[in-house]
Amino acid sequence: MKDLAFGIDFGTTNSLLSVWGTSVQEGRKLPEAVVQADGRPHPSVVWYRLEGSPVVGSEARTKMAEEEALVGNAFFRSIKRRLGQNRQVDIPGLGPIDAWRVASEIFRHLKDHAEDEPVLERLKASVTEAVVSIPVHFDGRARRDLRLAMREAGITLTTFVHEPFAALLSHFYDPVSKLNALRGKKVLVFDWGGGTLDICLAAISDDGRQVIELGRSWINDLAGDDFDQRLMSDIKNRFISRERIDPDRFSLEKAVEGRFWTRCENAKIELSSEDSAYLLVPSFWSIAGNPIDLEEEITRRHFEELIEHSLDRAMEAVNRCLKEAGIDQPTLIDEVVMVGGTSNVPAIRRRMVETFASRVSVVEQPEAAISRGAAIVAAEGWKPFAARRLAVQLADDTYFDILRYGQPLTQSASREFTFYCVDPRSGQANFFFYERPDERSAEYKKLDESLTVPVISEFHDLEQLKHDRVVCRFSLSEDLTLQCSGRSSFLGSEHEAEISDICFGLQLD
Amino acid sequence: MSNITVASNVWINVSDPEGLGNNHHMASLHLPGDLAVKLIVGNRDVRSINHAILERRLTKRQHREFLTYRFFMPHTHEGDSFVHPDF
Repeated sequence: MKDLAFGIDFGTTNSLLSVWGTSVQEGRKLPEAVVQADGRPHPSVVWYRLEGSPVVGSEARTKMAEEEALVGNAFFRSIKRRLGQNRQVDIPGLGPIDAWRVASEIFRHLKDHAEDEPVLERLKASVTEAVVSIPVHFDGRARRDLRLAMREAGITLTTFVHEPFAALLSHFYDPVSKLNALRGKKVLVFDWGGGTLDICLAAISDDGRQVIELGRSWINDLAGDDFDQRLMSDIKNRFISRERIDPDRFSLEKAVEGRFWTRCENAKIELSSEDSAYLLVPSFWSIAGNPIDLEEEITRRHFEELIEHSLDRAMEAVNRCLKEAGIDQPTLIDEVVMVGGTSNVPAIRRRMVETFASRVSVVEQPEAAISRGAAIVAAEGWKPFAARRLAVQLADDTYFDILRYGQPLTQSASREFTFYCVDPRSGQANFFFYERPDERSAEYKKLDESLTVPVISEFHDLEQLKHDRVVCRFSLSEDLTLQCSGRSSFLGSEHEAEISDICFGLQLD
Repeated sequence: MSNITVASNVWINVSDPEGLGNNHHMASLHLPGDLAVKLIVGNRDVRSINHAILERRLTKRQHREFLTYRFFMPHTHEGDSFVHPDF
């Protein structure tokens, strides 16, 4: 194990950097999770000002409430949602820039903040490389953007780990026995953060050396931020009704809206531990020039009514995940781990216990669990491997494997193969890619990606097969995508495709 | 009546995937039946060829494919097929 290694949870709402290694284990009082002074993670908010370098984190979050409306300012929250979409954002004075450049400011902030920690400063340790956690649905394009953002911030991305795997490690890992206690077990990880709900059913191999994914499901548009919006909308409606305001004429100033959002988020967090929360927003509205404050008491029961439909959707996602894994009985799950800030909502914990009984546990410090898991992966030097076979379908209805189950996903794994187009009359050789979800079954599932290579369409004799072969190269990128290229040996020009959704597991040695 | 799904038109010798050997003869066994017949009969009318000869020179699969109406279905298409009226 390394002396010191870093893991980053780059979250939609909050981000965090954790450290792990023998220095931590030897009790050097190294902060395990490098957090804000107030004990909370860093808000993933970036503030571009008219002058000066961008501001990130709590300060940006606070200023967003006050200064978003001012000319020359640009605030970005949830930039993670824009990665991998080839999106640009407008910055006053800078013009359009790639979304990953905004994300790089968050990584830079995490790095600077960590390096300023007294213990790291004393060790003269700098964050030059890290493992970063990613949602299960993050595809190759998003992973590439993440790598670019980290590189821009001066951090080399050593490898990716799925957020649910990181949470699982954080909860069950033991420095000596690793994951031996979980040998042969199935663990459902329920990760509900500020931006997304990710559910993953993981299996630990019988020898305890591999973690693989058996099933997954997610909801991209339903998480803590959406609960804030629902609470805001409910409180607004009550205020409008009580003050007899024409709803069509009710529009909050941006600064007030920002303060209101912050108060609602705080109230939501408070309701995780209290039966009610008090909310005050001074000068919320004005009637005839007289300012009116917003004062509301919200009960946990009412809040849970507001989000009941969301909880139903979350439980449907749990069932989808089990179904994908071919599990028809919740009793077949050995452990359930809840992680992420939204998992603190008591109502969702109750729902999970109703389904999985006493096998449900909530990770300590759920906000820090994922970055801690990523730091453990970094310290142990664990690497991803192909968790599903990937194959090309052949004309005789068989399959040719281009990635084998268990194959380490390293960049050196590049190979070249010679195919024949046995029906070139359409003028193209069609490569359809399939994956094998379950090694115990011979069934293959078609992927969306395919590769088309132009070939000579006129077919006169068998010699043509000899001369017009299709040479394909398959190579793994550092972003865990499979780059496929093919060229007709006669026509020459190269055509490419990318398989960005390779299913990977974690090799624990 | 039968259903035909024509999905892939590529083939590789899985025991020699790098293609160092002479694999094109083996690849020819995987030509679709109608294309294989076209190579055998050339420009002649297919009905002038002895059916037994075709059966001998084609693989079982190619022969079966030739007997079914594959002519109108390009690769990647699916559809119902029926026995060729001439055979």
